[in-house]
Amino acid sequence: MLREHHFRAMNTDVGVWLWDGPSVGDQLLRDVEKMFREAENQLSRFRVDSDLSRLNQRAGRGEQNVSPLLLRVLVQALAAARRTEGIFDPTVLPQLRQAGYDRSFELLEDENSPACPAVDCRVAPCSTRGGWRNITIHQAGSTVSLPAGMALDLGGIGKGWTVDRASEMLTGWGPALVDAGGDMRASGLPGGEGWPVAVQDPFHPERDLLTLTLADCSAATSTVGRRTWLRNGQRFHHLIDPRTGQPSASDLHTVTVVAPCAAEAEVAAKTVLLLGSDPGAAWLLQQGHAGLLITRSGTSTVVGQLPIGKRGEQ
Amino acid sequence: MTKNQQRTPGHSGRARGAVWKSGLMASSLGALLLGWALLGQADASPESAAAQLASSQPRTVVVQMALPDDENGTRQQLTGLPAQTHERAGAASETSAQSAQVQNVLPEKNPQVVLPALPQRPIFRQPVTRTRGS
Repeated sequence: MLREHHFRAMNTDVGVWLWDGPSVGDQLLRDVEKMFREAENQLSRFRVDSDLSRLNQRAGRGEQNVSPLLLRVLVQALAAARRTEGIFDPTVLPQLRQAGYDRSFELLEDENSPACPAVDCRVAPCSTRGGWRNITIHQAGSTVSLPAGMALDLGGIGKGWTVDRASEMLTGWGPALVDAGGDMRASGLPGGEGWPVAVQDPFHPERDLLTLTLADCSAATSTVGRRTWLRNGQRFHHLIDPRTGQPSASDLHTVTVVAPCAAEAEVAAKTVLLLGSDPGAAWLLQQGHAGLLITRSGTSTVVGQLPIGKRGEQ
Repeated sequence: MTKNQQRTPGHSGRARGAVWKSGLMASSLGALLLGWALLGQADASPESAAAQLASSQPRTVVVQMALPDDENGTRQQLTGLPAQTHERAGAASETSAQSAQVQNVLPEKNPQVVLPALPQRPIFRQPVTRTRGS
């Protein structure tokens, strides 16, 4: 029996599937939703009372107490920044605001909506220059110090981290799939098979390019084709290249990565997209991951051992 | 005398008839007891009786499996299963061939059903979800 539960959290659609679950399965799925809401309350930069917003507002004011959840995600984000040599950078929020992404995306689509009132609009003029290295974590006391003017955006990795925790919650109850806006993690083999996940054609959203078969692994997709907005007649997207402080100008349009966990897949997809086709593919192979790279001109390239179930139907 | 003589044979004939009837009743009783004893013996060994019964009749194997619904919303029908494990004389049909295969695998006293490999059908006919960029 396949149980499923859908809800909206973290400004995206979340789906949870549990195969052959026990009678408590429905309650388990509701617990997953509860966990998503708790994570959103602490990690959202669009909520003025979230732990992350409080930390950002107190940048430059010394050590700040943070919740264990925020601390864990921040530690993971800084580890990712080190692993990608700063291509993944959780401190690009000022640049993101400067580009216009200063409110939740639902509001951003309405050009007349006001910016989030609590946002500190001091803007770093250009690249972050590895500013993430100046974040100090005092894990013993669960405190964090941010340099003045710094602000963190943990949206992507926070979503992946939450997907991973949700998947762990369901471990032992049966094969499960958790999908939060394309960041997904599959565990177990429903009916002895993997979980079939279609890869959407970014240029023709009604079509699929291929179907992945996920088994005890994760997938995430980064694209410049979504979360875009117009500002002064120019279209912007939300993927900031920390080397320039500007929205990515690489040749890649959409990158899907398959990796062991969702947070890792999320970081890898973003990193490859920012690096571009050739360096991105090389880095992906170096990490031991696989992916589908689609350029802005529409060329698709499979990198590594992508678990392809079948090709998409045209 | 003649009368007596005539009586005597009549009297002795009735006596011989009584003896004959007694013998017939005794033999009938004996046959009844023998039959009773044979039935009792048969009741005491039901396995052999069942085996005799089974050997004389086709054995039907019922297999129940949970299968996904097909495209029309109906359950998938199992085909090619060893529905009967007896061999039909002179019949070399697919079913009897599969039956023979099953019989070779199974010990007679421990009947278990070993299914031949069925064509696998995917649990999911459509992707569960789709990638979305973020």
